[in-house]
Amino acid sequence: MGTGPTGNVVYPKWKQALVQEAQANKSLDQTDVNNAVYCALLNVGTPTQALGYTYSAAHQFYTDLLMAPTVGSGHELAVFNGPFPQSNPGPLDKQITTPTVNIGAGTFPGPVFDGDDSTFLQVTTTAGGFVTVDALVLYRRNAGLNSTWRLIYYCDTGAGFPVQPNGGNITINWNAAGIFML
Amino acid sequence: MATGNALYPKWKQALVTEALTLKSLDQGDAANGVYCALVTIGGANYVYSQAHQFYTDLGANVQGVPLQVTAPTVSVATVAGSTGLVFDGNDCTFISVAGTIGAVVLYRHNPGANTTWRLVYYLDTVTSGLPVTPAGGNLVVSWNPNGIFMF
Repeated sequence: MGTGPTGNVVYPKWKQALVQEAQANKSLDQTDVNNAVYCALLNVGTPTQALGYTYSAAHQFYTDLLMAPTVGSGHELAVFNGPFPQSNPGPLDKQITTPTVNIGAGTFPGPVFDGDDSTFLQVTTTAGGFVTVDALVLYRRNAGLNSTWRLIYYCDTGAGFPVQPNGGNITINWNAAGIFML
Repeated sequence: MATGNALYPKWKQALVTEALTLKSLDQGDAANGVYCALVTIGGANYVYSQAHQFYTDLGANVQGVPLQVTAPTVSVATVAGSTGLVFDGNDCTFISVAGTIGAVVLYRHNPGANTTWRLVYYLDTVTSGLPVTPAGGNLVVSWNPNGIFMF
């Protein structure tokens, strides 16, 4: 159960995959819809919303964003994109278009991952009753099951959080310096 | 003057770029392992740059023959309150070292030319031991018990 912001962080398990020869589907510079970085909106667990997502350094794949089957009986998603289980991202998951990984400057050489801003259309609360968007997660989609989509970046600290969906659009304006630095 | 320990940004960039290869750290064979080089730095010798990418960027400033870091591991760990990925391996013992050693550089070897061996980690700041002038003696690089580096 979450108790407050975790802070923006790159998932350690993703970094581990980067340096292991046998691991695949980890690059950030791909642009086709089946092999790209996607952004999902999350509800984060609170004392009154115990089913929400809670960051863990041990999390590795998209399915870690889902509810633990042993919690409650509904198996609802904390992700604002549809029922569990699913094999494809829901309509609300947005691909990060025009992805780049560039070397920065000065004392922050990076590399920096960046891309276009993301606009989520007509965001509503979920059937599970999650009423606020508290965080977002970037993940690397591939053509396989969502149990193989690597989690990359968790962000719950920034202007605009939390947001209460009302059916309108939500636009994520990334920092002008980039989305995150590795 | 110490530059400070640093991961080469060009290596990290390669990690997340699909078309770039030969960048993993968990290989144990001699042709594709991580190697440790002793480097003379400063002045007309090697000077770290974040633009450096390959072994040949070290120039003629490598002393002796680099050694493979054996038993390499990459594991998620928490050190001093920070959780990240830690690269570790066995200590390296260099025999009959000449010159003045100001830094240690890790790079990823591969079967190709040294123009393709990626620089990984630059280390010139330690508790004690650098710079050192072995004058033909042996030099043992003893890594931190927590690991060689975290990122």
